[in-house]
Amino acid sequence: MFMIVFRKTLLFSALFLSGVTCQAQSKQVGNVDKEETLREVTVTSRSVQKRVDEVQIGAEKIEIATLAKVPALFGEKDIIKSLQLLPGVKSESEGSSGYEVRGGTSSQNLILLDGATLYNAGHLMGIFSTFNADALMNGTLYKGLVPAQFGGGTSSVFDISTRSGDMNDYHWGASIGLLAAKVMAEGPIKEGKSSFLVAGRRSYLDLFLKATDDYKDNTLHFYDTNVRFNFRMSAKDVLSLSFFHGFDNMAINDMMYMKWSNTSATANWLHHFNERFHASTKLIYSNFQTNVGINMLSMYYDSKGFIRHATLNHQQTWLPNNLHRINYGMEGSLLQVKSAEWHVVLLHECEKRNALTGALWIGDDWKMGNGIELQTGVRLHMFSALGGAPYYQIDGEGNILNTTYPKRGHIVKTYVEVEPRISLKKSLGTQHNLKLGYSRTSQDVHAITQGSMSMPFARYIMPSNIVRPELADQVAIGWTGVTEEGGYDFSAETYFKSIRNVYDYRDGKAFFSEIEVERLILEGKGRAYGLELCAHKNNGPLTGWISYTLAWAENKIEGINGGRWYTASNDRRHDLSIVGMYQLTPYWELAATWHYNSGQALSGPSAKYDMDGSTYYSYNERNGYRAPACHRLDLSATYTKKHRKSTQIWSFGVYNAYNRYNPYIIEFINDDKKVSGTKVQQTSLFGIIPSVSFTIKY
Amino acid sequence: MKKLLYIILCGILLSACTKEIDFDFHNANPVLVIHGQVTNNGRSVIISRSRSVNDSVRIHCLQGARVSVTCSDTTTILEYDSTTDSYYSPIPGKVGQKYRLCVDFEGNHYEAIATMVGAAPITSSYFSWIEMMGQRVLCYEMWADDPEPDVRNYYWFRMYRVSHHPHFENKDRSEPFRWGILDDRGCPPGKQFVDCVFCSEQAMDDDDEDNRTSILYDGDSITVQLMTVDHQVYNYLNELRSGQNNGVNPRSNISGGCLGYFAAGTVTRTAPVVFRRNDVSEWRNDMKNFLPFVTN
Repeated sequence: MFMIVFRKTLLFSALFLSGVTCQAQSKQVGNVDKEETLREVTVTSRSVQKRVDEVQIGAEKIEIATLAKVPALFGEKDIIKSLQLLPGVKSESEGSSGYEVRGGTSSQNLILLDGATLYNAGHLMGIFSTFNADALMNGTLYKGLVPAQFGGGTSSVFDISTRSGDMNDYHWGASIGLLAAKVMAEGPIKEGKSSFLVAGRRSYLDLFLKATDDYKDNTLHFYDTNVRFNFRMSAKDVLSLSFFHGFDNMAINDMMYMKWSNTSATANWLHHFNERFHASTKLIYSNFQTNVGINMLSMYYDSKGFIRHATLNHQQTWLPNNLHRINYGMEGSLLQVKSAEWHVVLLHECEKRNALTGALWIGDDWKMGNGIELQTGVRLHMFSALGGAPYYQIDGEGNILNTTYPKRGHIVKTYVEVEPRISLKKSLGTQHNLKLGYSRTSQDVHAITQGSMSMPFARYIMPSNIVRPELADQVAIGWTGVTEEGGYDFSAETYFKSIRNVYDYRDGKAFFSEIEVERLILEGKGRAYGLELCAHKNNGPLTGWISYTLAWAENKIEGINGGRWYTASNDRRHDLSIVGMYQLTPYWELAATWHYNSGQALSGPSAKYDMDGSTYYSYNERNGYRAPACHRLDLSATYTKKHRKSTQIWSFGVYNAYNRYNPYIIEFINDDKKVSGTKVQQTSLFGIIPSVSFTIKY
Repeated sequence: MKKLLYIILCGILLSACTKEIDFDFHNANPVLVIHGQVTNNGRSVIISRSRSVNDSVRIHCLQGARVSVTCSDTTTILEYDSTTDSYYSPIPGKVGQKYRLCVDFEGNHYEAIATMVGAAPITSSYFSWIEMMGQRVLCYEMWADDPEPDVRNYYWFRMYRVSHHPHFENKDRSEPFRWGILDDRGCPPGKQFVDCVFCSEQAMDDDDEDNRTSILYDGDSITVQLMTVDHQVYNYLNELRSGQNNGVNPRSNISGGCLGYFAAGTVTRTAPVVFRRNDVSEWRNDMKNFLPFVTN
């Protein structure tokens, strides 16, 4: 019954999300260009030539302007969902903002917002991403092969930048939709010297609930806010201060509640020594918190957790000549993870640990000549688990054999990893490139989740005397080509990835089984391989792309599936996305996306048996079956009218236009009254969903 | 505004969908299933085989096995008893004793050990209504004494109902209406409790076929059974419960390669209660047997 109640809550997350949402956006290209000259990581548009010339294999540049044209669930533009249309990137499930890259899980993705690490970047259990497109400038997704300055995600790194406010003009926007309101303001603090940008979004689903008799005592809302200040302190110095806070709150009466939030703050000082030498120093804080509880009948349960980073990052970029671009730097962090603190009636238990992490790196983008460009680097990553919390010796069954209590600040265990990164591009004439890359990445924070979908309420653990950092090695080879006029471009990449020190729950163990999370988990490894194809049409009234992914993902964990390799629960063989945007008139633009994926791996029964009056299923193989395939067509039409001082945009959308019921949950229900003996029930989350939104920009 | 809201609600509710689909199950060879218990009510072992997922006929206890339970060098042979459809002996187990189950069947040997835990007497038991999302929802709470307050103990809770409602004609009555496992973490010293949330009053009125296994009907006779179990059996039942949704078989405490478990524990029961909706009172917060402390 608890599950039924929570399903109701989830359903209500979806219920109120269709309808009018308005957005306020502001263009201020000039200032961005100025700032770009000081950015150490080149992030510009997703133009044809940039895409083809990119040396780093497996990098995808995301352009917010393109994103705004793609049809979206409930009409809410979503940077994370736009990723899912790219080759090698998959959605966790329909409508989810969780994404999986090259056979990894969503918890193996590192998401950086202005350098700060965010976790579970989704509102309403993942239906919306936590990022307000109004506040973002752009982002780059590295699909496992990353430059040396990044570390912390074994599947991918998604580096997102917030937008700077306009230093010369004021812009503002305010919108009120049926379900959420957004406000945005930007402008100079001191003209030409400093600027601000404030963007906020809040759902008011709770107001709808209060309007009903049955649900007036329930809570269901989220909000997020982005604030950024830029100060041009001198011709050579820019200081930016950015802040983000996102919060979700769901509650049924005062009986059950779920809350989670992400908070981050970054101070970034960019200094230009000269045209060939600049530096960046960042002070970063991030805090991901969860709180879930039940207070009904005599049961009282409250559980909290957090992941906190306090980081100092300094890096310098040196261009000794036109052939080299050298980036080197260092980073130090204090990392705190509270895997859980719970009150269960009269019981109070807490597991919280601290650690220090450090990194040194150097990388070089080298134009070697003869059409060869090399992006190479090495990252030295260090992790030290600190005392001040109990550490354990644990037997094979998860029982504690011995407990030690090292002093606060005492180093319990240190792991040092050398992570080489290399990416090579060989130009074959002016229109074709071959690429080759290898990368090793490590990840300190493990998310232990039940099932294949990411939820905010996972148990998190970092390396200790027992748990080790997750390590991934990936090799990829690819080709890019562009037609003579740049009207079309094509890419093909194939990859193989191996991951070590992957952790999963022991059979029968769950979030609440024990406070000591190391007792609940087993260590294993994984591997993934596949092929990604993509073709873009860049010119003319019709633009868009087609992407296809052929992929395999497997795991091997002692104690699961007899210790043999088994299909990972996120394994999907085929993913195909077609995205088309058509400029019908100067006012009207049409867009459509069609997505198909073959069935997700699924564990199904191979027999059943009777015991104590009940019938149970017996399973012979982990993830040995496939769910039905999914496909869906989304459509949108956008009308843009420019006035003297403002621009008004009406967007109409239809999600799942032909009302395809795609599988979300597959259940096996014993029914001895049926001749077949077992009923297989598919639950679909979304049918056809129309949406409309109105945007006004000043 | 409300009208608009309801239009949206209805639209999305119609948008979500549950339907039955065809599924091609893989075939697997039948596996032996043993479930044995030593309790204060006697000793019983049922031996069966797994069946096809598409087989709707339940299997009876297989005969021809040699089944014994040994305690302190005393071995009791369990003979097949047709009335209980099990290998059965009325000799009760004793608290604190270690029992060894041996089963020899079709040339294979199966063996398990379990230690019998003391009784947890049920001290109170009642249904109540709570208000949730605008509906009255039927709940149940049971309190029992913890046999060993200073150690973590494990319990197997089962609620049985005997229904004479026409919906359940010819229905197997041995299936628990609800079952669960629990430990005594966080409970007041020397106490243990179980909370269950069943279905809404509205669901009772609607009486949809899909909800009938969650609905209690007037006249249903309710009996609750609480059995103390050891850690191994708790783990087995925990894995059985969670694994059914995750594609995982529980690890049996019986060696030899079979499904099932062997448990030794003490069973306490409530007297049968005839359920009447109108007799159930509202839950009040002062019914909590303790005050939860304030969190930070």
